[in-house]
Parts: sequence; structure tokens; C-alpha cells
Amino acid sequence: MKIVWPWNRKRVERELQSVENLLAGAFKPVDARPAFMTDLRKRLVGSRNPLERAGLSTLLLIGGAVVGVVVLVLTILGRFGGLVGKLKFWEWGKKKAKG
Amino acid sequence: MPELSDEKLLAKATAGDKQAFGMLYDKYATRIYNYIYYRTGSAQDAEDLTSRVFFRAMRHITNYRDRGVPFTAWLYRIAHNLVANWHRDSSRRQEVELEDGYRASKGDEHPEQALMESEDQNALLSIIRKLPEERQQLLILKFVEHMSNAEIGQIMDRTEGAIKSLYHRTLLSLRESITKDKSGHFSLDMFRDLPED
Repeated sequence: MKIVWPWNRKRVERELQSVENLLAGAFKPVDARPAFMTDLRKRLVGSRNPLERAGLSTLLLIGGAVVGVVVLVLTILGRFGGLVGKLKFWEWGKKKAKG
Repeated sequence: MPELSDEKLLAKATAGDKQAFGMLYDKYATRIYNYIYYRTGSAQDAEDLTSRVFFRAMRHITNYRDRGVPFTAWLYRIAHNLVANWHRDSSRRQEVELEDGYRASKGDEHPEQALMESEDQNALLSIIRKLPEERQQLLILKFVEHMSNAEIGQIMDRTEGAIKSLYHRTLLSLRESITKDKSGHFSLDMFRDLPED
């Protein structure tokens, strides 16, 4: 390495500052292709979308649960409807009037 | 998932939580890509090596133990080793002009000026690529990642003082290369424009 003599020091420091400025201009952050970033993430850890991430068995389980809940709600509504039908609320008013 | 600290994400990732690793990937992938891009000068190789870095990191994350080296430093070391192998393994070490992809977006309003600037920058980058590896690494971490000397020291396994000294020597050697450069690319006549003491 060359010796920097004291009388040259200020000049050298200014030149080094210019080199730093050049470097700051040359090294600009770059963006990777979004498709590459997304694809690599997918290959590493799977998709961000929980539905895509879930396996077939999980999806079947969720589907089964949804169908089960719907059937249960329909059954309860049906039973309730049957009960209302048997009690014949709409005839109560007429009976009272006759009596 | 709410924003978690690196420590928490690492704890989850080392326990095998893939989504936690995914969040670490989201945080650091672009930085690692940038580092590799400037070390190789090619977007294609940067993509290839970035993939390898993260696959390797994922394979070994369960062995990761916090020994005072931050996760970023660990990732950069993997990247550094892979880039070093890449340079060693192939004859690709020949001059590779930086691709124009990202630079094209910069100077749409003044294409001629943008082209000149881009040529200067490429010339400078090709000089930088002739520097020893550790100096290239230092410059990229400093100027692309804006890391402090202490952070760079953690990655390069050196003291802060050693990094400061290496940086100064690197600048001196660059200044010398630039003044000797005869490619005519440099507007480094700027040295001549400096006022005398």
C-alpha cells in the first residue's frame, strides 16, 4: 500500500469521498422478479393461501364438517317445523273463540 | 400472523414451523438476492443461488443455535460460501456485464444520460469485481445493505476495527484502480476537478 504523506492527506480524503459517492451511485438495490420470489416461497414452504396449503385429507375433513353442520341445522329446523305443525298454534285462537 | 421478532420466528422455525420460516424468507430474500446479484453480476445466477441459499438454510435451520451471530449473518455466510463455490467451480469468473434490467427503469426521461451513467457504473462494478472477495463482500454489505461496520464484522467474522481498516484500504485500492483505468469509461476526471489544497 502506498504511503499517504501528511501534506497529501486532505486531497486523498476528498478523493476517497468521491470514490464513496461513486460506489453509492453504482450499488442500487435491485428487485428480484416477483414471480421468482413467489415461486421460491411456494417451493420452500408452500402457498400463503391456507386453502391451497391444506392437504386433501384436511379439505375432506373441512368439507365433511360443513356438510354435517348443514344437515344438523336442517334436521333441527325440520323437527321444529313438525312440532309447530302438531301443536297447530293457528287453531288455538279459533278454539278460544268457539269456547 | 402478526409481525413477530426474528427471535420468535427463529424459535418457531427451528421447531419445524414452515410458516415461520416463510416469514423469515419474506424478510430476507430480497437482501440475499441483492447480495448475490452484485457478487455474480447476473440475475439468472442470482435467482439460482438465492434458491440454494434458502433451501440450504431450511435444511439446516433445525441445527441453528444462537451463538451470538444473528440470523442475517448466518444467511449471508451461506450466501457467501455458495457464491465462492460458484466462482471456483466454473469458468464463469470472466467479466460479466451487469444486466440492464433494473437500470432501464431509472432514466426513462433522459435515456442518453442514463446510458452514460449506466456505462460508468458497469465499468466501476467490473473494477470492483476484480477486487479480492472479502473486499467485494464488504462493499456490497456497506452500500447495498447499508450495514454498519459492527454488523459487517459479525457476518465476516472480524472485529469492527478490522472492517474499518479493510474498508479504508479498499477505498484506496479502488481510487488507484480508477485513476489507472484507461477504458475511458470514467468520469473520474472528477479527481482533477477537485479544488487544490
